[in-house]
Amino acid sequence: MGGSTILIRDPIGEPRTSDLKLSPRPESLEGLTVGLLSNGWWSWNVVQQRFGELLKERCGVADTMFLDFRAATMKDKGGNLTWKIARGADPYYADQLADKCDVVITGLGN
Amino acid sequence: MLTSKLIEVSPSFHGIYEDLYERGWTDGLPVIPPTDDLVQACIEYVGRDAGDIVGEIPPAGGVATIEKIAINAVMAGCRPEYMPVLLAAIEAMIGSEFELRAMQVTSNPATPFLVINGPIRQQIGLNCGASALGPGFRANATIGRAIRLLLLNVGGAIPGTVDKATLGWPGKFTMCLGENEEASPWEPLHVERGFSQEESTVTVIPAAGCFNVYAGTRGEFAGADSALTILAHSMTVMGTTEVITAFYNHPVLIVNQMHAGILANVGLSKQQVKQILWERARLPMGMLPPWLADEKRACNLVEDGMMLLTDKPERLTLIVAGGPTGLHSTYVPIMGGGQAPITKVIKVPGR
Repeated sequence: MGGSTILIRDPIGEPRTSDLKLSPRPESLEGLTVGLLSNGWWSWNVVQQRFGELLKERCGVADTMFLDFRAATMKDKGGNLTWKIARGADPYYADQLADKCDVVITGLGN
Repeated sequence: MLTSKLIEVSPSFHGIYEDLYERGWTDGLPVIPPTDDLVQACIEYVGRDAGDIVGEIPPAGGVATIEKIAINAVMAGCRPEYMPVLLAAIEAMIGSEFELRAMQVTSNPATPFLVINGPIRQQIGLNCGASALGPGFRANATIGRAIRLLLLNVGGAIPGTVDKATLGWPGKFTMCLGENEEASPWEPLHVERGFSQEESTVTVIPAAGCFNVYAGTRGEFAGADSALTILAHSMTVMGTTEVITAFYNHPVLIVNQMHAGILANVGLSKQQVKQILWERARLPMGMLPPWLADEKRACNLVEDGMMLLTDKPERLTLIVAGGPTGLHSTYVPIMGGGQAPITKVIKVPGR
């Protein structure tokens, strides 16, 4: 190879720009209902209990609601296992949380 | 027309290696500089526009255009004729059943394992025989590597920061073979999965490792019964995700041609072999930690006091590959979250 430099192409693939917008965020959690959604990983169910307590103690959260996505969606009506790791929440459960909660936090504890 | 940013780099091989490594664009090994002539040759081979989108690769959501796939293919050392395999593999991986997003960020060492069937194996010189999973064969080595570079450069799976694999494993550099259809006594994987013998396909498997299964005896061939017992129990190793998670998993065995012949010679079809392996690949429930036993029970993965590897034999994948000698098969434990192998047709231009 001669010359002082050569030209190559950038291999990085950029994401498409999105018009999705974040939902409005409350300025404070005071008096709000906070949903805590487990994505199914072991230990988050333990962490979320304590997390809920701390949210009430420190942030004035009025109420908490827990949903274990895994337990709720493990089997369909025919008894077949339907839950798979790393899936997003089923819209049915997401809608339930949206109806009852002002804010929802999801997480994993592994 | 190519639209990716042009980068000026040193003209020396070593300078290019240093530069691209510093930019975080490599797997740590030297790469071929993706100059316009090489990239164009890959794009022209598939006869599509450089800007055509094949998909978005998670978690970064980078857009895998024909051009980006070609650039990474060149860097990996691919020939243009490998491009159709890459396109099909990307299409297969971005389907939801494969759970690529999870694979890209998990602490599990999982990586796509590509199994190729059909006439394209001979057309591109893909090794299906001796050392098919080992070094020395360009198509095997660079196709698997190009996929890894795409997962890094387009998917954003930067090792240690986004790719959180605790240890990883060498299969994350490359993992690709062809099924040795000509040496197999059974129908090839793609035919079993509903494709015609004349079609070329790639099956992507979420492999979390692999290990040798020596199912033989000194000085004589092992019988079918012995081989089945050893192969079955290679799949019950405590610590593989199939055993320590409660999902309907899809374990994979690469059966060498001697084992396949021994089993076929006693009249066993592929489906019968799967049935026997599934019946034998069990552990006493008493061996499991209590929490795991509870999870297996919750998912109906228990029968007569024994843990089932998965819920039905049809979920096992058997692939025949490797050379003509030796009783070495390979078990491929998969990621273990219920992910399924996905097969896509490889569209070869002009055929």
